[in-house]
Amino acid sequence: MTSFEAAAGRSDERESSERQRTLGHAAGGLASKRIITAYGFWIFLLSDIIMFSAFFATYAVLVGDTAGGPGGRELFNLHNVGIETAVLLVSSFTCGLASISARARSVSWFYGAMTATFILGAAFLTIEIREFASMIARGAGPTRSAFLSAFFTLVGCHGLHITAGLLWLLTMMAQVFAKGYRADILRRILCFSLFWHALDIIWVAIFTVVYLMGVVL
Amino acid sequence: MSYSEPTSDLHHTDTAPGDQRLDGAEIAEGVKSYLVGLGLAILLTIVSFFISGTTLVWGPSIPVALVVLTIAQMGVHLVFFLHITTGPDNVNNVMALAFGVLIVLLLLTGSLWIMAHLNHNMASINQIMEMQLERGPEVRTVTASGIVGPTATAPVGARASGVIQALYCDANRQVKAGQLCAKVDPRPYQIIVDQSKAYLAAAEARLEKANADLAQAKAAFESHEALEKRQAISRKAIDKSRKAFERAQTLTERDEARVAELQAALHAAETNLGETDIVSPIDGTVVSRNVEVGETVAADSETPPLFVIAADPTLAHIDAIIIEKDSGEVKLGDKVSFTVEAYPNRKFSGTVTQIRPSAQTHEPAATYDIVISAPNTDLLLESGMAATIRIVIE
Repeated sequence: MTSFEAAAGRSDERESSERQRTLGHAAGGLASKRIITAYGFWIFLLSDIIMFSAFFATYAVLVGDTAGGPGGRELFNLHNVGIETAVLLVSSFTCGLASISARARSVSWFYGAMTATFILGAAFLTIEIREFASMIARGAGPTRSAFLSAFFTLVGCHGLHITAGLLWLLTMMAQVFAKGYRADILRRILCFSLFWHALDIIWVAIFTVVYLMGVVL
Repeated sequence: MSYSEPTSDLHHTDTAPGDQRLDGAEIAEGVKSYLVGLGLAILLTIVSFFISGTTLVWGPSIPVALVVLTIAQMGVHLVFFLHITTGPDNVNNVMALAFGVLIVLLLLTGSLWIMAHLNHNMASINQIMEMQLERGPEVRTVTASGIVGPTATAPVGARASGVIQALYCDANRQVKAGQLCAKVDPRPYQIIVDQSKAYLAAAEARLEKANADLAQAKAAFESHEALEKRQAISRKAIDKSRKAFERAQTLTERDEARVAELQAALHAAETNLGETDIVSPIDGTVVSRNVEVGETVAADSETPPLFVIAADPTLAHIDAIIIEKDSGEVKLGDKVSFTVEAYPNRKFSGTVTQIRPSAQTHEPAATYDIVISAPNTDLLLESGMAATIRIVIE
């Protein structure tokens, strides 16, 4: 068991980033670039979550204002939502595998896990787009009522994030292919995996607040 | 990376290590962490979906359970996927998360609370706009309570006394003017008609005979007059035939008067017979029926009407009472809005059409009766409904 003091004592022999990370905040030293990047991206994710919470609040206020149109009970298909949830959850897992693969410097595992994540994310997006299209075809588009405006804004915004995530995912695969596992590439992969996991957290809130409660209440 | 020390004891979490390459044990540990997270998330998701569709638990507890499960699942994602833990390297991340959660909670509870509060205080935007259109922003009202009554009623009484033989109208039935509503037994009236006809026929026969006698007497008298010019008849004989002629004239006149009298009697009897048909005088709806088959009715104005028929059911009127203090403020034509208990969310409107001092003063303060006319095109307002009234005054 190496104590903090021992680690600090051997600091000269180690990379400065490693030393600062180990000493952490107690010593007041600079953190590694990896930790600073992750922290900054975490702040961005929290601000994104706050933006989503505004959409959630809007949705919760307007959920009863159906203007005589269809409500959640008539519109939502929990079977589809269950599939979407499962697909996104497994994609979170494969995304985690991809980040482990990257840190283990395994190119083949990384490509495999990222490809699986992409396929699952694309499947999620396809189901969601088909759901939206069928709702619009039944006359329940975003212009039908305040409830549907809020629904399409909230769920559609999550769908846009997933789309952006898929583009980012392809970019990361291309960068690993072109540049290999450089330190900056690894940081980007870390950020991407944080982003993808955060989207799953938002989906957890959506499937509960929008779909399950929409059918229960 | 030159770093190769076995320092797994320093690497508490997956975000903690730097850019060094993971060894086999760390890979296994990382995968294990993701697997545990995946398992927990799947479990919580399945429970959420199960609870939302079940009837096994108390209904109102389902949303609460869903919220708890969601927060638990978010925690699982944060710990096992995002690796936000309580380790020393995560202090900044956890602080940021706590701040973010605070903002999210403020935003959600604040929005919902304010919107629910505003919603409650504002009642209905339609009502506010309606009142503002009526009188501008400053509206004073007088409240009263009343009863919806039928409007423009026509009582239908019996004009021929007798026993009710049949009924054709009942309450709430639509009737047309002239429609038969009840029938008084016509036989006594028929007998009088028949008798009158018989008397008239006898009188007419007598008149005919009298006319024949008159013609005969007239002819005799005229022939005697011709004889008199030639001095061929006695004074006495001609006087006798004149008297016979005059007597025949008198008899004829008397019989003519008798015939006219009997004709009038027959007409009256026929009219009485016709009045055994009790018909509706107006188009409308029967509001009440106060007679049964077999009942004896009298043709006088003292008895209550057999039927009451409301002319136009699409125009309701409400009889209300206001206290003396308010009576000076309410004027004819004032706009009124009111509700009835049967349709608590529906607002009806009308105008004040009558104001008069109340007949009965059973309260210490004098009261005034007012009548409010209100359109009732969808026929929701029914006689007897209690109305809560607000009269808009200047």
